[in-house]
Amino acid sequence: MVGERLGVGIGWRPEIDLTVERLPGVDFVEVIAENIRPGRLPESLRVLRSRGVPVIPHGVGLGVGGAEPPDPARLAHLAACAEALGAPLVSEHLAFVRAGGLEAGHLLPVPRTRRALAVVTENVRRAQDALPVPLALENVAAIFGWPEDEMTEAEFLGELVAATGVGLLVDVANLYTNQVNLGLPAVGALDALPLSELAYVHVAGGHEHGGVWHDTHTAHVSDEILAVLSELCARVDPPGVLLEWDADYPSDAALEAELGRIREAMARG
Amino acid sequence: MAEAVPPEEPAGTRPDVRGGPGPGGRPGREEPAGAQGVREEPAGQAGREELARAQAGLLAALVAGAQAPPGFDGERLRIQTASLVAKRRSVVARLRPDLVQTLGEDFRAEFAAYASGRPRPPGGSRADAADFAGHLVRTGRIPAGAGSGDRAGSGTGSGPGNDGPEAGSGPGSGSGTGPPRPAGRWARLTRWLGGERDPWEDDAR
Repeated sequence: MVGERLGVGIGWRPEIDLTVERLPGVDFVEVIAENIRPGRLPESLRVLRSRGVPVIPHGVGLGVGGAEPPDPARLAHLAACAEALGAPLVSEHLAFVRAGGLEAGHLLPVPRTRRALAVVTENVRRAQDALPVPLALENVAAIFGWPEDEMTEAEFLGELVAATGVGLLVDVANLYTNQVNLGLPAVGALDALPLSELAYVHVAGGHEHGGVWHDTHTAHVSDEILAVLSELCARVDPPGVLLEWDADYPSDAALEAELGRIREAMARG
Repeated sequence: MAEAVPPEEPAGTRPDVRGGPGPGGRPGREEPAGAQGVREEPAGQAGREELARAQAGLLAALVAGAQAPPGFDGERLRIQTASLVAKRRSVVARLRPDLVQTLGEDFRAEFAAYASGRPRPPGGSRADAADFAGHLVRTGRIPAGAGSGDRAGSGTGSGPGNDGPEAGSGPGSGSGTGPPRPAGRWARLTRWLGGERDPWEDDAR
């Protein structure tokens, strides 16, 4: 699945649809899969597709790290999104989002044990079987760890990749979040992840509050996070790097400048 | 929402491309030994049940006020809980700016009091906003009758109704500071975002 050159991109959101269309240097975009209907794509995405800009459906509700097998209806939706957008791949998260009849409303970390790995491996295989394009999974930002964790997230993802061939979406902001919150060195994670299976990279800003990093996707990307991106680029030439910005949108010029900072950080790697 | 039907599935768009080279669901390269042909559950039902118990116990502690499972860092779980409530609050604020205006600086504390130990109801953020308004009426914070101003339910609002696991990625209220958007496209988009029920209502995107 690696080999698809994506370039530098930004998360497409309805609030910044025209901004994304006219920003220079947007090589690809991502759309939250649950926010679109494959049969009624937003006009802005159709415009981008007509220009040949790849659009990747990014799922947030599958919960492939959950105890239940992935919902066939959700998988069918992701598949239909990929078809409608002509997407080269679909991405989701190594996370659970619901359990015991409750919705988390958030991407929560999976207990990283051998027994959980077996469940998640089976879930990933089911997802792959239902999708017409390759799947890539993203590492998540965590505030807490499970007491029974036997592996780091990088090791867990490495095992998943080896067992299923799933691709990697490495979120360097999430690696930085886990470094601050859980004391897991981001560079150590980069060394442990099978970066040869990298599909693309996420970058986003956040803020620190009381010694805890909150990955809000609403702020300027910090130099520390860009340094993790440079470290990644020193190890592998990423097929794509995408900026996530989800609310409190800045000016078009500020977003353009952020993409420029990302390119500079990539060049330093 | 497990029972949800996908929004629309274009006919004939699910070609069976597996088993051949190219963009199949599985990568078209060699799988590790042992991975091929293993269709039975290596995890086993017991493994799924164990994981289900663990995740349900933790989630109940995070969103429903249950006692934290043993071994977790309680302070970290408290921070996670607060973070989840903050996320809910930001979406409800976008859906119900009238409540933000009425409550002013009390909005945050009132929402925290409402959401403490109370998971988001089925029906997603719109249901959450409606329940919050009902809570405010019951506690006398707003007059009865003022609790039904859900913009998103009106068919012309721009509220998300479902923001998601990832930070605030749901379509919001157009709070961007960039140049104004042409009404036509924005209106078309918000028409279906706001006026039609989203099948993935329970996702807190």
